[in-house]
Amino acid sequence: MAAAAAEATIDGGGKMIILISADGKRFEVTEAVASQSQLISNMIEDDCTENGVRLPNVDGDILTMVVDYCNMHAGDAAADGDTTKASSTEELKKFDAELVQALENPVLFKLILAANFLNIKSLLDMTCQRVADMMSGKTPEQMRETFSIENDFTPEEEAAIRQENAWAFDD
Amino acid sequence: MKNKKGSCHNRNKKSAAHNNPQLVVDRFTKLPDDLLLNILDRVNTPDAVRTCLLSKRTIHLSHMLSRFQISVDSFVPDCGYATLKDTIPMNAAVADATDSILNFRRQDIPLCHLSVCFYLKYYDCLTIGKAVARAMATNNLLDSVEFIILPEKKPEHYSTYDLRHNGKQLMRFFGACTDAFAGLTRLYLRNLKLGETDIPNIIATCKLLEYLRLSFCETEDSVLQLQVEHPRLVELDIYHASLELVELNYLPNLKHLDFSLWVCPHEPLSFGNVPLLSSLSLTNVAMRYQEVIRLSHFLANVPNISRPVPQLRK
Repeated sequence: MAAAAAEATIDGGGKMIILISADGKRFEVTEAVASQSQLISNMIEDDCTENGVRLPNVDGDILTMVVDYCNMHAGDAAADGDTTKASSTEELKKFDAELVQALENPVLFKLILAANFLNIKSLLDMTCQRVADMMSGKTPEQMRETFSIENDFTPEEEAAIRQENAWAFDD
Repeated sequence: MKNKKGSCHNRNKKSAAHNNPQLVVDRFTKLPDDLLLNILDRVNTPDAVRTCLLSKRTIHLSHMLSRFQISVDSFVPDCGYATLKDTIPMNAAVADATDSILNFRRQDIPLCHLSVCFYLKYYDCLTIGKAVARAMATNNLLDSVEFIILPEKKPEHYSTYDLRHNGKQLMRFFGACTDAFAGLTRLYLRNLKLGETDIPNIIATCKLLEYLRLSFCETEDSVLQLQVEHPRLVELDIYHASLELVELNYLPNLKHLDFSLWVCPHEPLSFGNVPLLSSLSLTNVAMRYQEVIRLSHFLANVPNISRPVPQLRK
């Protein structure tokens, strides 16, 4: 990332590429910003971003969030070794915390799928951690409500599960 | 107990979420397995397994977790604290869960981290020790294996008799499960009174140990010195050992040493072969009979600690 950012600066702002969401929205970003996605970074290396990158799995509203995230974090990569880094790291943390706190079902899960598809490890880590934090310390019943998980077991199946995992239930 | 409410008591009483069709979409279980596992491996194992058991879609994932992390803390009663009586079912739940989850997990999936925090009750220890030893033998890639062994009572309630009893329990467990101890990379022991050769025995058997914490682990009064030799140990933390001298004879990988509360009048440590030791913390409540420690003299043999920074507190 840092290397890509440095290259972009030499190019005078860097080459722009177009990302196209499932619903046809177009986002113009620098290669440095886009290449935080390992998927797009590979496409840039293979020189196949000429006509824009179609992302049929990612909706426009989710791609807006992803692009915001990448813009924010590319700035950090570019500032590497800069004296302004400390404040920008601080800002970045605040940005990440606010982003992740605001995420709820179902946007959170859409963003996880997008981060996974685009292969942006830091965003995937952050969003998966958010779900894990929402799970911790909840009773199974609360978990069902939080994530709207339907009970698809028959009473017999459920009894068998309870017997096999007696430690997990308060009988 | 916490987290242990039944999963289907409210089968007919639909929750608020289920009355609102817009919220009913279950996006969690629709995630692909690798993402679900990414999430599940970030919470402790009891929470992860209870989540897996909520739906047919996820039930198989309970055998595919790559981290196993369980503690008696996960079984604290709803009131938020545990009495001595509560420690019995809490510890039994840890033992049962450890046995069942480790036995039924898929062995082709690497288990990279295993940590069990439990009370020193012999039969639970035996279940845990056997299950962990089996897991070590049958699973690949265990990067870190940790035992945190807690005393049942609060430390302030211990008599010498209790400490000695704890020590005997530990050594009985150790003797029955040496294969599990031999694979540990991290070990925490607390509130024990041990026989003359017990600590050297444990250190010699736990060949893979990288972290060791001994907190209020006393030896019989006749024992005044402890010699420590270990090829892999990186971090050693000794809190109130009631020894006159700990000789760090051969610890070629030791980087961090934390040594707190000693009672002898002179310097409590001697440094032999500790070439990598770079972080040393000494904490004590100075008694009138204790001599002044001359750090320059005391640390003469430790090449990487050139400028000690003493932090003095009253």
